[in-house]
Amino acid sequence: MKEIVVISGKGGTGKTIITSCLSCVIPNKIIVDADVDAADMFILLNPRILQQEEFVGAQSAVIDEEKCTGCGLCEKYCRFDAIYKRGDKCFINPMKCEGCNLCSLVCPEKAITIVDEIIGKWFVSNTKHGKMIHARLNPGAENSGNLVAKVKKKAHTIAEEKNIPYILVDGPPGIGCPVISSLSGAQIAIVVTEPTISGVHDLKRVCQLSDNFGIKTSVIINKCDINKETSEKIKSWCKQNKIEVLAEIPFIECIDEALMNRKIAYYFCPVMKEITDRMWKKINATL
Amino acid sequence: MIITVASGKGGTGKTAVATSLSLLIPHSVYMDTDVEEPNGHLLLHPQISEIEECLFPVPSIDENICTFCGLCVKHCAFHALTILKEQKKVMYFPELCRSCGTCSYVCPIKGALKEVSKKRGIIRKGKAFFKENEIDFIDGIMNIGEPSPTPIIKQIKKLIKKDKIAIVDAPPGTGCPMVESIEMADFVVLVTEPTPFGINDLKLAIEVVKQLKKDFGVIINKDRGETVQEFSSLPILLKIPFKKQFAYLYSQGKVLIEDKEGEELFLSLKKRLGI
Repeated sequence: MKEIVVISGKGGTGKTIITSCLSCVIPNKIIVDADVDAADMFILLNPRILQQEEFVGAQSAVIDEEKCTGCGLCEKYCRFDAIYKRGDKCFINPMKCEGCNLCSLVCPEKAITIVDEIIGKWFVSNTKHGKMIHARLNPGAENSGNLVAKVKKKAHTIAEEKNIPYILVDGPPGIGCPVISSLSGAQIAIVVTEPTISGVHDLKRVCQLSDNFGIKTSVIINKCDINKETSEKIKSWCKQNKIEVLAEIPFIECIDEALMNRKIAYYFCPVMKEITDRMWKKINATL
Repeated sequence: MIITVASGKGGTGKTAVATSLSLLIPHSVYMDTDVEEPNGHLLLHPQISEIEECLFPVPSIDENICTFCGLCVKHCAFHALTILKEQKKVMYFPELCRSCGTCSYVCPIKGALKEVSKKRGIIRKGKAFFKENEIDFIDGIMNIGEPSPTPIIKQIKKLIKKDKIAIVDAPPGTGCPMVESIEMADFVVLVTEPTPFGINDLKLAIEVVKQLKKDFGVIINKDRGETVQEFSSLPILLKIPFKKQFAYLYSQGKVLIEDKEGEELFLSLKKRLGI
């Protein structure tokens, strides 16, 4: 089983549009939307939900008001500023609590317990392009990396059961926990960048991350013609670092139009179809 | 006053908005809390005068004193410690550790488990300039491989001075780092774009903002002059038209107010915000 993960460092470079196009050419695969903070793949793929589960991804402390004497010891020990005192009682701010359990250990009244926290939902769906595993993080929830790990694990289980050879993952932006979760276990990381000064900056950071993981990394330069000079700089940086440039995608209006119509650019835009077909050939050759 | 510029979706123009707005407010503070991928410095070209290390306590185990009782492992909620009893070794996984201090609290042997500092990133302070305006610049840079930006964001927040106007450039998403950046705000500016992705992620971001009981306004970036029904009931602060010129300026690392039309747009935003 081969797992291909599309990431970017910088947000809004075109990960989801490109992943949706790849989903048209990769035969027999499971699609994973690992951007659980702001999942958008469903907009293009119209999934029909088959299974839906709540996900316990974190723990949080709860104070029994009856037992609390308001001594404030928990507040003193908490390193996440998650406990505050109001009147003669202590309270937990669940948005800040990391569930480390230290407060319940220090409480002399045994007034604090740790409870499971549901941080979101995950789904198994059918799409025209195969099964899709996606999720929705509750607004403001922590531990999105755990939810990413969950959807990926589910994808692997189904892929093994049904002998599906490929997993295609639409990753989140950034370089933190959810990105690390998305990369873990992948064979190829595809970084989508754009020829802007921030695109280049973020590309370098995220490539370093995937390199730390020892994952083969290649690059797609999206909107390559908005600044040709910077595009050239990206290409020479990639060459120096022995990173393959899979494709250079120009700024074409029909890609935009496809998105506005909630359509996959592969079917809407002949240039994008051609580029995607070529990309898949290159990816397949390295797998 | 603290104004946080946020968005659910990445790449909608948070940094473009936050940088131009700060530069038009003399003596304001620009703060970049997108410590995973901080980009404000690429547009503001600040003169950095001070670098602060982000140090967090992590366990260090003296295996000569440790009795391998396993209490630290049992109580670590994040599975950052494991004991290999036979080899008399404690394994520590720094990427899982949240620096909560539970391990050192529960360790019964004096001197066996000490907390030492680990650098997880840096915070930079400096000044940025535009015409006659001078502003303070602060950003955080998380070390590559670190899982959580939140502790660094918390450290940046401690640098806020109440008497100044702070413009906070938040990370994308709707999770913990975004909440941490919004929580301190007096007002939230949400930047979106009129695409199905932009609209969907704006809805998610609004849910978070409402949950935190914050006032907010919306900026529509890359506006094409078409009416978007989903935006009709929202408090719209500004529409930034879709222009290749703006995209090109940004690509070169220039702020939008370097363009005449851009400057007018941001002056009207400033007025709208009552600054």
